[in-house]
Amino acid sequence: MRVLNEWNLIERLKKGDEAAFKEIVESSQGLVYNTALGIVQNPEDAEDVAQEVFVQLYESIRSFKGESKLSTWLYRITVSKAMDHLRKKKRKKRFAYVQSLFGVNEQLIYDPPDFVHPGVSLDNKEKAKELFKAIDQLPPKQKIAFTLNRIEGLNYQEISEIMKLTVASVESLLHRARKNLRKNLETYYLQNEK
Amino acid sequence: MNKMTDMQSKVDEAMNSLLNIGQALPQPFFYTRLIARINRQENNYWDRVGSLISRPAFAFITVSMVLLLNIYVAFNESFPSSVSPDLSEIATADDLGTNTFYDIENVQP
Repeated sequence: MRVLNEWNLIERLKKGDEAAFKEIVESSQGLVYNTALGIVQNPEDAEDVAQEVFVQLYESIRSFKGESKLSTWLYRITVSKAMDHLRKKKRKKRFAYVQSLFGVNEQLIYDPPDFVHPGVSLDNKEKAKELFKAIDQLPPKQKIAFTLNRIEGLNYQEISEIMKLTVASVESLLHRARKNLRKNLETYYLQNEK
Repeated sequence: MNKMTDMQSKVDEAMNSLLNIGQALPQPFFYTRLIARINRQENNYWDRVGSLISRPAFAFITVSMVLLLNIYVAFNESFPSSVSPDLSEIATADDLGTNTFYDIENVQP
């Protein structure tokens, strides 16, 4: 029933039906925003990424052939846009730093100090802050797999479809991600003890 | 030993801090802001041109065309057409051996 409804919405959107677009946005904005927030770790940037995702959906819905679920397609676009956003931000930061060295632009771009995901319960907030710092240091693929698994609650099969990998590769990615996170956290606690 | 166990429990607590995490939602009126952005983009001609130019496909086509043009020119240069007259023939026909008016007026006997 749900699949039929999804197909119906996609077909209507392909014909330019704005109500169908609104329905898709309202039913999947949480999925897109939550994933983007997990990766970029900043609410304003996540909103920007979520908007870009839906703009792309609006512009390229005709190329959607229905080989995967709409949600899988949306996850793919979100992950790719969020990673692009991080790369652009890093490039901007580097450029601003070089400019500041030459005295062209004295203002450097700073990240907000600590990110706290709004979905984390109050008693876990402090610990989650440390974990998000560690997640931010993971290699891109591990970061994506871990975010989809822990923040979006997707299983290995769903992650493998989004990342176009085998289930075994996803398992291995998540195993390495957990190992690296433990290492990063240990280093963080050791540094803070001194 | 105690210190090590303490560290491990801290790490475990941090690793488990995302259990039962709730879904974050964007600020209210997300759809309104999204439609405003789409309208802004549709109205801005230069934004559309920019997004077209910045597509990888556009860069690929441009580079391919430049390369093909180069190959075409290089290929034509290395095989000059056989009907083009020899340079010495042109020089004789147009009397290019005579350099100045002095040469013309002071023809040696």
